[in-house]
Amino acid sequence: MNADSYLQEILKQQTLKEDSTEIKELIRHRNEVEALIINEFANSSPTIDFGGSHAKGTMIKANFDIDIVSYFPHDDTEPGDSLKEIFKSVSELLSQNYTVREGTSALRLQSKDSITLGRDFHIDVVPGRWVDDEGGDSYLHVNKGPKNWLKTNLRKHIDYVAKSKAIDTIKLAKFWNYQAGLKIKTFVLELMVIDALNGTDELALGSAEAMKKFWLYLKDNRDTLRAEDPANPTGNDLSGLIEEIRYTICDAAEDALEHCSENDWCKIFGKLETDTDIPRISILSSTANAYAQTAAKPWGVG
Amino acid sequence: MMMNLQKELRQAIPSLHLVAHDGAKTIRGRLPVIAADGTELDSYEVEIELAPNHPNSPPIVREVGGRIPRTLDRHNPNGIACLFVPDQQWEFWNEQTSLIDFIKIGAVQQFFFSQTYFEETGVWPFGERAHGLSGIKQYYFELLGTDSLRIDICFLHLLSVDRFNHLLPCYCGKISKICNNHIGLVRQMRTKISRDWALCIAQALARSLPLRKTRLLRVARTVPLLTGHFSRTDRARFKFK
Repeated sequence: MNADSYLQEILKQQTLKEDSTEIKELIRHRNEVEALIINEFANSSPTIDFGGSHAKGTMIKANFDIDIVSYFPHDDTEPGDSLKEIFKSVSELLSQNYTVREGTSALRLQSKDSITLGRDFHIDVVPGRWVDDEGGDSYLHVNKGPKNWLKTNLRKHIDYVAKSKAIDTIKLAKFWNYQAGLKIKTFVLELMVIDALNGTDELALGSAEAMKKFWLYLKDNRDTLRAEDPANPTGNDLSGLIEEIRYTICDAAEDALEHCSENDWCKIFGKLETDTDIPRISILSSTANAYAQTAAKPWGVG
Repeated sequence: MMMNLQKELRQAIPSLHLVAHDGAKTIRGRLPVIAADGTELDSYEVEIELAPNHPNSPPIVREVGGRIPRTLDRHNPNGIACLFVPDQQWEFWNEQTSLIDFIKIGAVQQFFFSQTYFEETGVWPFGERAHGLSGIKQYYFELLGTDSLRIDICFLHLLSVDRFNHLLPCYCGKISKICNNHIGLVRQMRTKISRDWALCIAQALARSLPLRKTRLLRVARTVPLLTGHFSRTDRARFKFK
């Protein structure tokens, strides 16, 4: 199997179908979140919609998160006067049904059930406020950093990614990000892929060549790696999202290029999932037996 | 150290990365769970925070992908993985343990393998310890081949005394001296468990005895604390509250 067919197979395995259990579960939570917000803020008419990788079509099976945007009209003060108040009131509301972890601008939803407490639903609710009646730009509250708000535009983000036609390469880059344990923020990764592939022939997108070009871009920009929000190039500083892991990203890209030159793509993306005759329980049992003599028994502080 | 560790990690587990932040060193990324045949069974998003006095204390391990419920029953309260009872630290984290081995094949790998196994079968492959003090008690039961709490307490008391000699009463109940076939284990464990920790656990276990009166009687019968075998300081330290 050549590199391109291998990557196509990886893409196929990483595709999340709309009727998959994962997506159905996400939609169920989205509906629950929507009902909660709409019931609570009955006099407002917030826009509740999918954002992030679901809207952009760049979701992968190995590591999927979805954003549910919850934007209130610009002149509506029911959920709060300031962006911070909106953020807090949505957070409190969702806490009725979920364990809510407050992120920089989003609210991460986790299980509140006593048996599955803290289990992550891979859902970020992003509260915000429309800038005007047109429903384009929106303001978000920011928990960290010098500025406590930012202006963004969900539609522009979606269009920017769609226009790049680099969806497959983005998906592969996301899978690489996951496999290499890099934790580059998805949005930043998307911007870097698009930047790296600027001017690439459309037919080459999603191919081994495109991935090599992307890694080469990371390697060559070791000290200057950056990402610019297309919706707000000067007002939304994304450098903080790269700075801490800049060299880790570049080292990982270098390693990936090395594996490419050896044609060892499995070292980057792992082996393809194939039907095996050995049942999974046998693999688990034989591994348990191999460890049994020396294994640690888990405990609990109690 | 930082550069070496980074280099070792990059070779041994390339999906984990060392990050230094505000003076603290943390290993972050994806930890693959490897099957006996070398294939990848599963993986977890982890954060492994090196202790400020690394390598004297083991790192704190967290599962940060939100996959393992944050409950005691999953040995993951507050997102911190409870890899083993503290009294077993000497087995899994000692001078011979390299950080890479600890993560790749040692207690960290075994913990996450156990989680995958449990998720799929509902059974802990290597068993599990009860929560809190009960788990520590279980460990000493296993070590001493007993189910007597008195024996656990007496053994821990021998680990906690400052002035140790073979004429102390044995944990098995022999008053005159420590039995020849027990002294080896006591000596060995005195090099593994700190005096203060042993004392603290002995006291906590003594407090867990059902009734105050019975507790004192039982302990006095097997650990002749008042017979003069122990120094005054030892006696003072070993007070049952």
